[in-house]
Amino acid sequence: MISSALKHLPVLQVVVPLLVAALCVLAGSRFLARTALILTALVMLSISLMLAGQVYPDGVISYALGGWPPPWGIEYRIDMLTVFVLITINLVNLAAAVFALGRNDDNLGRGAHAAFYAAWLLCMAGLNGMVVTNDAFNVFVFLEISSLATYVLIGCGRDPRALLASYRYLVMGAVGATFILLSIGLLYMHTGTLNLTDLAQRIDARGANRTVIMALAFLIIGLGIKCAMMPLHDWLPNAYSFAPNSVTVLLSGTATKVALYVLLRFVHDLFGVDHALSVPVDIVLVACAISGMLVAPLIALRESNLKRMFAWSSVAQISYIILAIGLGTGAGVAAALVHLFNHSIIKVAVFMAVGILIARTGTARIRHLGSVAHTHRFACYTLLFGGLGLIGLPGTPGFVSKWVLVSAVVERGWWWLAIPVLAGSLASAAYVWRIVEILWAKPADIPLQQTRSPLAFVEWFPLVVVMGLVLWFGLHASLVTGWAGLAAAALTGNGS
Amino acid sequence: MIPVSAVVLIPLLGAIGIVLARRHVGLRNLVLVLTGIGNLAMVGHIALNLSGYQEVQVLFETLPGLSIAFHVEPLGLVFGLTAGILWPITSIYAVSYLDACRDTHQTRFHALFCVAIGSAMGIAFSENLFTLFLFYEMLTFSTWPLVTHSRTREAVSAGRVYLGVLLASSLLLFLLAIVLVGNYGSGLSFVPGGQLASTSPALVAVLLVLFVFGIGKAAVMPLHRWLPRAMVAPAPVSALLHAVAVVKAGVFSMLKITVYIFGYDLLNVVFLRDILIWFPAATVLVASFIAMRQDDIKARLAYSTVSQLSYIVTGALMANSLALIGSGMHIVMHAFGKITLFFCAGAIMICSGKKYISDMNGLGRSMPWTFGAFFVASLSIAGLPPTGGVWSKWYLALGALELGQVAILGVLMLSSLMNVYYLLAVPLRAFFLPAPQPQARLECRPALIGPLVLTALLSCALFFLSGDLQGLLADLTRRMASP
Repeated sequence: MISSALKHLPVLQVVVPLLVAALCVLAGSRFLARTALILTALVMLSISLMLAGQVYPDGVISYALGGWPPPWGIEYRIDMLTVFVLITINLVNLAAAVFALGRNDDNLGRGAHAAFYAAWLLCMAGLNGMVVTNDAFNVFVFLEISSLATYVLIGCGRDPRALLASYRYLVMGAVGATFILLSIGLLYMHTGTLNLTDLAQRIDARGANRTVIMALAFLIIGLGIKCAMMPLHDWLPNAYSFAPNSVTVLLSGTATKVALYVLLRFVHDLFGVDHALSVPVDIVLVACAISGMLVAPLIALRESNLKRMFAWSSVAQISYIILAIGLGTGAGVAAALVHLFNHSIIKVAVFMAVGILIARTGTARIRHLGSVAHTHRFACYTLLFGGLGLIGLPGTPGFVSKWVLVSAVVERGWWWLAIPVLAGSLASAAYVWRIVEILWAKPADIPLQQTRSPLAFVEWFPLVVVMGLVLWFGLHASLVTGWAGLAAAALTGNGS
Repeated sequence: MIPVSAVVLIPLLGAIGIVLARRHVGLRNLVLVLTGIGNLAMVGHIALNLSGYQEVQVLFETLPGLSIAFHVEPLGLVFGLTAGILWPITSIYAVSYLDACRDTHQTRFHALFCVAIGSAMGIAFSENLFTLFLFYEMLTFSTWPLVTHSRTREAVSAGRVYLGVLLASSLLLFLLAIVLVGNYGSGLSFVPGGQLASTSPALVAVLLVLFVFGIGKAAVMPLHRWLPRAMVAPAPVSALLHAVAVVKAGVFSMLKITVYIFGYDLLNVVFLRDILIWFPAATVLVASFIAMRQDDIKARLAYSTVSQLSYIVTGALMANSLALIGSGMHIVMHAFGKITLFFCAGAIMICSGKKYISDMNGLGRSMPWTFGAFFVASLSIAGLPPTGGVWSKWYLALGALELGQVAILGVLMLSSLMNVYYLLAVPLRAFFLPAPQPQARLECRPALIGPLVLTALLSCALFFLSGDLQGLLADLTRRMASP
C-alpha cells in the first residue's frame, strides 16, 4: 500500500494542493482553510523531500500519468534538478503559509479567506506542476493555473492600487502566456511531439529551421515576462509592492523562480545555449542580465516605498540567475541554481521583515521610517542581515552565489563579466545602506501610528527559521553547491 | 591547547556580554575591560606557545577550497599583539572619555568596538584570503556606526564617504582580485612562496594593481579620503581604530598578500611593481605636505597617518627581507606613537575645548603630562631616538637601498623631516610660546591621562625591545627563504 503510494509521489505533488484547494472552497471556514493550508504545505514539502530521497540513489523517475507511457501520454519526470527546485519552492511555500496566518495587510472580508487560501493552493499546484511535468503543453496549462491564482492573490492587497497592479500583471502575464503557447505550437508543428525529452531528440535530429528559431524567440520572450527579465520586468515592482505581505513573500521565492527553472529546462534541454541554432541566445540573455543587474539597483536606490525597493532588488537578483543560465555551461547552470535557492531564502526573510515592519509602523514610505530600528529591533536586524546577503558579503549565502557565479564566468572565459557582477553588488550595497542609514541614524520626521503589540508566533517563527537557514547556508554551502552541481549534471546529461 | 579562533570569539562574546549588562554601567565597564584583558592574555598565550600553534584551525568549510580558517604566523602575531596590548588601554580611556562627553549611547559604542577588534583579530590570524576578506568587511561595517556615532548630519555624511570608499574599493577590486587568485592561482591559503607561481606575468601585474587599490583601508592615494573624514568619530575610535585596527588591517593585508600570495621572488620580477611603488611613495610625501597645512589637530594627525601607512605599503612593495622587517616593525611603532597622539588630541579637546593648533599656544604649561606624551610620540613617528620609531624607519631605509631605489630613500627621509616639523611644532608651541591669557591648570582626570602616558612610555620601551620584534620578523624572512 505504502510502496504503491510512494510510486505516485510525482503526481501527488500536484494533486494534493489541487484537491485541498477545492475542499477549502467547499469548507468555507477560515479556520479549516488555514489548517488545511499549513498541513498541505507540510505534506508538499515532505513529498519533495521523499522524491529527493528516491531520486538521489535512482537517478531519474519517470512517471506516466494515467498509465499512458511517454511519449504518447503525459510524463512527469523527476531528476536532481527537479527536486532541487521543488524543495526550494515548497520550503518557501511553507514559510510563507505560516507567515500568512499573521497580519497580512489584505482586504479580505468575512468569508473570503477560504477562497484566498484556495487560490494560494492553486497557485502552488500550478507551480509544482510546471516543475514536475515533462510535457510542453502541460507546462503551459500549469503556468495558466498558477498565473490566474496569482492575479487573485495580488488583488487581495489592502491598497486599492493592488487591483490595478494585478490587472497590469494579468495583461503582461497573458501576453507572456500567449508567446509561450505559440512557441509550443510551433515546436509541435515542427516535431509532432510534446514530450520534452522527445522534442529535444527530434530537434537535434532534424536540425533547426525558422520555425524552431521562432519558437525559441517566443519562448524567451514569454518566459522572460514571467521571470521578470530586465526589459520585460514591468509588472513585478507593482505586483510585489501592493500584494498582501505573505503573498509577496510567496511570490518572491516561488513564481519567478519556477519561470527561471522552465527557462533553464527549455533553453538547455531543447536548444542548448551556444550551439547549432546559430542564434546568439547566450548574448541575448547576458545582455538582458547585465542591464538588469546594473539598472535595477539604481532604480531601487531612488525608490520611496520600502516594499517596492526590495521588489526592484528582486529584478536585479533575478538578473544574476539569468546571467548564469546564459553562460550555457554546467558550472553556469549550477551557479544559477545556487543563486535561485540562496536568493529565495534571503528574499523571503527580507520580505517577512518588511511585512512585520510595515504592519507595525503603518507605513511603507522609506522617509517616514527614520530611527524605527530602535523600537522594532527584530525586524530591522533581520532586514539588515538579509540586506548584507543581497550585497553578497562573505559569510552570507549571497557571497557563495557570487563566488560560484564569478567562477563560472571566469571558467567560461568571459572574465570581464565579473566586473558588472561586482559593480551590481556595489549598487546593491548603495540601496541597502540607504535603508540602514534611515532606519538607524535618521531622526524620525513624523509621528507614526505605531503599534507596539508583541510579535505573534506565526510572525517571528517562520522568520527565525528562514534566517537560521540563511545563516547556516552562508557558512556551509557545500550541500547547496554540491546538489546544484548534480542537478546541472542531470540537465546537461539529459536531452542534447 | 586553546584554539586560535578564541582571539576572535573573546571580543565577540564580550560584545554580547556588554549588551546584556547594559543596565548596570559598572558591570558593563568591567566586562569591557575584562574582555580586553582576556583577549590580550589569549594573544600572549599564543605568542608564548608558538610551537603549539603550528596547525591550521578550520572553523567552517563554506565550500571546498573556501573555508573560514585561522593560523599563527609572525606578521599576524605582531599585528595581533599590537592591537591586543592597546585595546585594554583604549577601553579605560574610552570609558572616561565618553563619561566626560556625557555620551548616552555608550553600550552601543563599546559593543561595536568589541566587534571591530574581533574583526581585526580575525584579519591578523586569517589563514586564507576568504577569511581575511570576511573580517575585512566585518570591520568596515562594524566601524560605520562608530564613525557616525554622534548621528549629526556631518557624521552621517562622513559615514557615507567612509563606507562608500571602503566598500567600492573592496567589492570592485579586492574581491575581483580574490576571485582571480581563486580561479587562476593554486589556492587562497597564505603559504610562504605564494600561490601565483604558475600564472601569467600579465595576470600577476593586474592582480598587484587590484590589491594595491582594492585594499582601501591602506589609504594609498587616491583612496585616502575616507580617513580624514572618519575623524568626526569620538577620539577613542580615531585612536584605536583609525590609527591602529582599521588602517593597520589594511596595510597588514597588503603585507600578508605580498608575502604569502605573491611571494617576493615573483614580485621582484613584475615590471609594473617599479611604477606602482611610486603611488604609495608619492602618498608618503603628498600626505605629509597636506598635514603641514592642517590647523585642526585631528585632521593633521589623520593626514600624518595616511603618510605613515604608505611607508608600510612602500615597504611591502619593495619585496625584500629588510623592508619586510621594517614594515612589520612600523606597524607596531606607528601604532603606539599614533594612538598616543590621538589620545592627547582627545584629552586636549575634552579638557581645554581646543581643537585648532593655532589656539594651543602656552597650553603645555597647564597640561604638562598630555603635551609631554605628545612630544614623545611625535619623536617616535618622526623616527628619532629614544623611541621605537627609529628602528622601523632604519630598516625601511635599508630596504630601499637593497632595492637600489635611492629616490625612494630620499622620499622617506624627506617625509620624516616634515614629520619633525608638523608634529613637534605642536608641543613646542604649547610649551614655549606665551599663552594669550594666563590659564589655570587644566590637566584632565587620571583615567584619561594614565593611558596616554602609558602608551608614550611603551613607545620609548620599544626602542629597547625592538630586538625581539626584529627576531620574530627575521624568523619569517628565514621561513620565506626555505618554504
